[in-house]
Amino acid sequence: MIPPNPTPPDPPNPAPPPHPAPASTDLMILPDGTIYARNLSPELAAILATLNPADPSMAARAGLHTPPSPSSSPCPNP
Amino acid sequence: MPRDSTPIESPPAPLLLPTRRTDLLPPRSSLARERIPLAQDTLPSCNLCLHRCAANRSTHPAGLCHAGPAARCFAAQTDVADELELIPSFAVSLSGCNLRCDFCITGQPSWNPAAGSPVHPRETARLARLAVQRGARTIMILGGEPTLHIVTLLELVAALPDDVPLVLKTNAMFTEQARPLLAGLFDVWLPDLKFGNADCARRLAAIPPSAQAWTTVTDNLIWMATHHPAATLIVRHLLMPGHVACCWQPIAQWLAHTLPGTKVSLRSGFWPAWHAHRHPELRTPLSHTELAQATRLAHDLHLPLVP
Repeated sequence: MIPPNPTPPDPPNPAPPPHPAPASTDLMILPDGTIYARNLSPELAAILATLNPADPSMAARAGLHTPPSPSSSPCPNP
Repeated sequence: MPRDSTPIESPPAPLLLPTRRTDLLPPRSSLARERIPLAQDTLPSCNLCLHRCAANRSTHPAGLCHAGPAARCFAAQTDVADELELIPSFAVSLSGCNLRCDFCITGQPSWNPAAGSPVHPRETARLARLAVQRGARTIMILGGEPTLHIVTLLELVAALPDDVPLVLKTNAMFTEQARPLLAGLFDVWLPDLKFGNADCARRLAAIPPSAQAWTTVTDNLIWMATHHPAATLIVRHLLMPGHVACCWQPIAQWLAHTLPGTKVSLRSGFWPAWHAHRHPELRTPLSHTELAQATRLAHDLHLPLVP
């Protein structure tokens, strides 16, 4: 069992609430070239789909990603 | 080859989003807000899950899960790894769990309720709205195990937009004490039916047989399927190497017999992570042979698999 860590104290000055964590995707690449993805972002799904265009599951997930247009706002997560 | 879910055999059917019948119920945000005081009342003697610790979590971490009165979040991002009809989903992951699955894919932050940052419901709701503007079709709350953090869970639901389908991903090991607090809030229930027998539950997740995990989960699945007919139930099972016969087979048979027609998500992307190495059969990914066996069984039992 993991012992709990004490909750950190509140900061003295009000500040914007922190984002929980930078968005990330974890990849595990096996020696045979199989790639597992966890917390798969739409952008990375599009990249992975190009590695294996014959994978219908990844193609379906990649198809949901719309690349941002040049006039779109920047990513909200710093 | 990227592999994160069961390969689909034909072009996907038109995606059917769960619809929320707001004409029949008060807004879920109102329901959730009303229940917050009731949820707080559960913390001094917490029996929210099958362990029934009766621990006092009202002021500090306690119980087997070491969870305190307020939850923390270790991830909040748009994800496309889940079931096709739910994605892209803005997924909010709460830290801390009541299980100790050695194969847990999120490992440390799942087990440690102090991981991540404090949850700020309004800020989370702002991020969710932003994600929806950028294409997310659902909002998902998961863990760890989100039902442990019942107060924060309700605070989140109270802050989130009412017009976006809301998904709860859970291990479904909550008790009847949690049910009235959860009822009617979610458009999609996404529970795991992890183990087909008590021995695997004990060996792989340290669930004592006395906790009656099978009965707890299956009773909850029946409740999810019946208490709010407008909600969608998708039962998940993570296929694990060496556990098709002992776990998936009894689960599949139970689903076919007790919840025929219920959508089933057969997760084939087992990832040997965290403490999976403690078990010889879990040191490798799922084989193609086992995946084929499991899929064939599902088809033989006419289980409606979802991609």
